[in-house]
This record gives sequence, C-alpha cells and structure tokens, in this order.
Amino acid sequence: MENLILGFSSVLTPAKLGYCFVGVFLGTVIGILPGLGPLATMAILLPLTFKMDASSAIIMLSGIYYGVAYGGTATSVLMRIPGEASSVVTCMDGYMMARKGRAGAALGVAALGSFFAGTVGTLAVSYLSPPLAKVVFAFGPAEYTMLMVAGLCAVTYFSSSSILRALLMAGFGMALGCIGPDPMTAEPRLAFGTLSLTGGIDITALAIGLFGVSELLFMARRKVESMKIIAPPSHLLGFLPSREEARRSVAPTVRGTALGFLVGILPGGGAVFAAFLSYAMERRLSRRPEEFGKGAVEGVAGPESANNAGTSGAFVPLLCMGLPANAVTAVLLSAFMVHGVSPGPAMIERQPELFWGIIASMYVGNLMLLILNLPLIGLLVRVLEIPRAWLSPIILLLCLIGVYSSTGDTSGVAMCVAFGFVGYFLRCRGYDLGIVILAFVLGPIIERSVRQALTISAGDPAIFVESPLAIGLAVLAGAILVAGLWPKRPVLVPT
Amino acid sequence: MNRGMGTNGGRLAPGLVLILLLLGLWQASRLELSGFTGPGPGLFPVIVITATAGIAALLLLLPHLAGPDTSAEEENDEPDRRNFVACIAALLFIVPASAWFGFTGAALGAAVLMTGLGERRGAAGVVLFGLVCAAVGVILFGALLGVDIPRTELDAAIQRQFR
Repeated sequence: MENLILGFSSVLTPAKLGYCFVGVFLGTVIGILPGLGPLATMAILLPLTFKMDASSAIIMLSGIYYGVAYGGTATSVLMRIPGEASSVVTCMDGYMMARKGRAGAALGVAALGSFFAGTVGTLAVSYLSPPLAKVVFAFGPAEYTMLMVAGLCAVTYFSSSSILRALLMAGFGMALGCIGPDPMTAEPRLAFGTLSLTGGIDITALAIGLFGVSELLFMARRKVESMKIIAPPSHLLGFLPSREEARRSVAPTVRGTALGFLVGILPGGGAVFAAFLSYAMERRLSRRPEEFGKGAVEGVAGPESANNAGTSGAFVPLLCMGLPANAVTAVLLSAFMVHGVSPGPAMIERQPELFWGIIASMYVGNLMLLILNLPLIGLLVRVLEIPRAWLSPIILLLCLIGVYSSTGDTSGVAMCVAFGFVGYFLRCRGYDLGIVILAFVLGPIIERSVRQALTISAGDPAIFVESPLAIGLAVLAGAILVAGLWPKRPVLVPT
Repeated sequence: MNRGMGTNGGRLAPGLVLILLLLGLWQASRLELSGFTGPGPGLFPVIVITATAGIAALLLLLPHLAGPDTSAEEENDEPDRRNFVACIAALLFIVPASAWFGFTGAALGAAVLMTGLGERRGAAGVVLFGLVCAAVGVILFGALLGVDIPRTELDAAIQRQFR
C-alpha cells in the first residue's frame, strides 16, 4: 500500500495528469480510425515522448494503450467498424444494440465494464508483480531461453494464420532482429556493407511500415463508401444502461475480467484472444443464446471487460520479467528501453517510484477514460467523417514524423516505406505481422540468454535441458508446436 | 480477391522470404561461430536463418502445408487503381523529399499526389491543404513539441519564429 501511495504521489502532478490525458485522448482519436490499432498508434506517437522523462513518457504511452482500446469500441458500436482487433467481437452485439436505439447503453456498458476490468486488472498487477518478480530470480539463462521459446511457440499457436506461416513470420522477425550490432560484442552484423543497417533496424520504422503504411495502401485500394454513424447520446444520462441491462451485465463483466486477466498474462494472449474467449463463454453460459448477434448486452459487457483486463494482464510479464506477451507490449518494451528503463525484477527494487508510478498511472488512465472520453465520444467519432482525400495524407505525414524523429535520417523513412510494401504484400496473403514485431523484439533477448547459457556450459547445448524447469518448458514448447499442426486449433483475427 | 489461395500465389511469399533469408545467411556465414569466451556473433543468426529458410523452403515446395488463407485481407474486386497508384507514388516521394525538400515539401507533395491526383480535388484546395499540413507539422511538432522532423532552411526559419 505504501508503494502504491508512492506511485500516486509521483503521478498526481498537473504535468503527469496532463500527459496521461493527452495519451488517453490521442489514443482514443487514433483508435477510432479503422486499421490503425494500438501498435501503429504507439509507434507513430512514440517520438512525442522522446523529450519527456521516462515516467511521463511511459504514463502517456500507457494512456495511449488504453485510449486506443476505447476508441475501437466506439466505432464498433456506432458504425460496425472495429477500430482495432480486440473490438471485432463488439461489432456483433454492440452495433445491433445501437440499431435498436441503445447505442448509449452499449457504450456505457463497455466503458463501465472496461473501467471495472481495468481497475481490477491493475489491482491484480500491483499485488501479483512483486512476488512474481522474486520467482524470476530462479530463472537462469537456459530457463529464460526456454521460457521465451515456449512463449513464442504459444504466440504462433494462437496466430491468425497457420502455424507454419506463423513460424515463418517468427523466424523472419528474429532474423530482422539479428541485423545490427552484436548484443554481446557490438560487432556489426548482416549490414550488407551499408551504414544505414549497421545500427540495426529501428522498431518504429518496422512497426509503422508493417502496420501504418500497409494500412494506408489498403485504404487507398478501397472504393470509398460513405460511412454511416449512429449518433451517440448528446447527454451523459443517455449512456446509462437500463436496470435490466445493468443486471444482465454484472456477471459477464466479472467473468470477463477474471478470464481476460488470466489470458492476458499468457504469451500470445492479450486483449484480442481474451475478447473472443469471453464472447464464446458468455454465449455458452447465457440463458438466451439466441439473442447473441442480435444485440445481447452480455456480448458487449463480457468481451469489453475481458479485453481491458487482458491489456492489464499483459503488463505482468512485461513488468516482472521484461518479457512482452504480445506485439503491443513489445513496442512498449522498446519504449521503455528508449528511455533507459529495463523492466524486470530489478526495476521494482531500484526504481520503485517508476514501477509504482506506472501502476498508479494505469488507475488514473482508466478513470480518465471514463470521465473524459465518454462525454466526448460523440465529438471524437466525427473524425471518421473526414474524407479519405484529406485523411490519408495526414496519416502519411504522421507516419513520416513518427519514423523520422525516431531514426533521425532518411534511411529510416526508406526502411519504413519498404516495410510498408512488405507488410501489404504479406497481409494480402494471410500472414500475421504481429508475430514479426514480437519476434523482432524477443530475438536479441533470446540470443543474449542463449549465449550466456552456452558460455556458462562451455558450449555444451545440454544446458538447455538440464534443469527440470528448462525441461518442462522445452516439453511445453514442443507440445504447443505439435498441437499447432492439429487442424482444429483456435484461430484469431490478425493483431 | 484472395490471391494467396492459388499454388503460385501461395509460393510467392515464402519464395521471396527465402531469397532474403539466403542473402542474410550469406552475410551471417562471414561471422565467427565461436569466440574466445563462448559462442561468436554468427552462431545465433546462422541457426535462426537456417531454421527459417527451412520452413520457407518447405512452404515453397509444398504450399498446401501452409493451409488456407482464412485470414488473408480481402481486396475488393474493383480496386480504386488511380488512388492506389497515387498512394504508392506519395510513399515513394516522401523518401527523397524527407532528405531534400524538408517537411513542407513532403507535405505539399503528399497533398498533390494523394489528394490532387488520387482523389481529383481542385488545385487551390490541394495546395492550401498541403500548406496547412506543413504549418501544423513544422509549428506544432517541430517548434512547439520539439519533435525532430525533416528540415530545409525554410522549415528551420518557420520553426525559429515559434520557439
């Protein structure tokens, strides 16, 4: 509790509250735009944080993370267009509720459920992280390697594409991560004699290219159709659910929160998987399964709570072990590193004000999302009325600012554009690009652990299957891969 | 249109990835696999690239193993070709523009290509829009937020007025 008070004392300053608000607001506005999900949004807005201190930067990025999730919900309910992948499920019942004149209730249930899930999820993060961080000390380099390999296998298992395609993308991402200075000796590698590759590939250029630029190409290809927006309520009371809707939402919200948090902790889990699982669970448990897809409030409350709790849950491995559970937290990890922060057990001991500041900012971000964004949502969705003719160049220029300010030269812009074409090409062929980003970030971490382990064992690879923990993780990784070849594995939408 | 479903379409992606990986393998093979203190800088890249190239070769030779493209993103039958080409042109333009024409030049070029040529908006509106985008980028991001943006003398002079 003392630690949490320490966190709040570092967050509750006008400047940091301002950064949190800007993050939540920008996240919501960009989350509303279809296609630009949390990953591209955070990559584009990351340079805005370069001049800030680490704690302000991370507070703002966490706000963006939450804001994007809520922005995606608004377009799902009002237009049947998911602003990001975890809101796909909300399109089904949220939009049908809106068509029945219950748009305000759907948005209200989503916002209140998200707030509850986010708060409970944050509480769980704050109580689980310190003891879990102590467990991490039991991991040596070999166990750490096997843990990350098992995690990467789990991510490929839950990928939207087949496991072989997902493995190809994981390997491709890791190979891209090998470009640049050797993590142990700083010797340049795979640079093809060019200066621009000597320093490695910038994650901002990669993420903006694969997600932002490729989305621009998809936007440009589509025939323009006028978007129909169902008007949200003009006053706050209009967002309140009826007594019956509130009663039916309670249990799905609680279940979605618990399920979402647990799924969020798992590698490859996160908000998308949590939302889909919650929807399936609510449909199975419902006394009125026939209403699902036609405007069942449970179909909004459960998945919306689950995706927010999943977002919180994904912070556990990130903060305790420095391991991203999905592509979005991989970008967040790189943001930590840009600001000289190494998340993991050491952070809790050495930088408690930062660690607890992040936790406190998650509470504040959730509250801000509820108080400020709900009344503003009617105004924010008007972003979608901007014609493509004006919106596309604005997105392109935001991408340019994002990548140029991160890399500082034209080679970064060239790389970003090249990755945009690669991303478009691969997305057209059903490849999941989220894995590329995750593997790109995990690759150098895995390499460092592999080399540390082999140095300890004097080059004997048996070290990876010496301890029971390492053996268990190796068996788990193998089992996941074998299960992945099974034809009826769960498949998600692209992250 | 789901181009990945066909055998040739299914082979294209792993084929191109394989070529890139083989180039990477050629570079990695020049690095030492072991050093004085343990594994060398080439060990991990060689293992990763060889394993990935193996998967790519498998998908190239046996494309049906990749499974159906259930998640391939749909492209409508009648794409907006003019706008798509204009978008590609704008993307290709901003690379040299960021080096030589600064943010103002990049913004104007993007507006002319995407809004003017792609969406057929009037010239005056396009130029005005480009100038507004340039002003927002240079003043808000460059001068007020201190973000590093592509700059020419013109951009730098505008920024100095607002710092």
